[in-house]
Amino acid sequence: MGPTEEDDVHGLTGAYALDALDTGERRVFEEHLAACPSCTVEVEQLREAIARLGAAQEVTPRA
Amino acid sequence: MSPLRRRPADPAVAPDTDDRDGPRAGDHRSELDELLVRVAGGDEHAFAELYDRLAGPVLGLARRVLRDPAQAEEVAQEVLVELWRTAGRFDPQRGSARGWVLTMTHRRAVDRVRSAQASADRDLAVGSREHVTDYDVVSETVTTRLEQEEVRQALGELTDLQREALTLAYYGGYTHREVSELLHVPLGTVKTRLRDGLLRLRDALGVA
Repeated sequence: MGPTEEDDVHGLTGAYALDALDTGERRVFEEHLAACPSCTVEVEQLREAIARLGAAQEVTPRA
Repeated sequence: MSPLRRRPADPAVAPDTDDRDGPRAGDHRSELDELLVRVAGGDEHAFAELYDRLAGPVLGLARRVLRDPAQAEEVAQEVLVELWRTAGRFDPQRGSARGWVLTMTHRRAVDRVRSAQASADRDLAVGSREHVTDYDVVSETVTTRLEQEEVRQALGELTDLQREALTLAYYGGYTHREVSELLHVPLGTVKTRLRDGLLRLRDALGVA
């Protein structure tokens, strides 16, 4: 795997955190995550930001 | 904004650090985090309270992605069951309880949308218009309205392409490949915009 491909993998944190990878890509990226602390931290941070987008969709559930 | 917010340039603190007092993301453990930790210990009262507090966001997000109230209800139920079962895996040092639960919700909603799509082709053009323009959601509480306003402002700091790509991916449940088709932009550009957009959003919202 060349350096370019490696860069590509690190660049997938956003798509991964958004669930925008397809099933195969997701699996590959998760393998990468298990071995990459910096991507792991970045994904955690991006997820917190994304959760704010999600929480802004709050509705009041019927009782 | 938290004064403890870790700067992006910091050498990544090892994610499995034991330094519980360190300046990590999610240092301000919220009540929700405490509740989820108690749920992990089998506390049913904590579960009931957590359910009350999170059912609204969970349902709202599921509805936004699925655009079908009945299916959204199903996803919300699944999430709450999964929450009870897997609470032990929650690590408050790595993020908030709400983030954890909404991540779970989004994943399930998206998986459902995509498996439904496998049989029926989705009209990408229509979906695109719908998701890009459909910003408004009924908000019932002051907190939600404030939160929505913050999110709206933060989204306003993104470039148009970042915002559109992000909105399609997150609220629309589209893959980055679909987003690239919808926006007529190369896949590599979409990947970059999604990440850059989120990093900017993270900073604008003062997360992490």
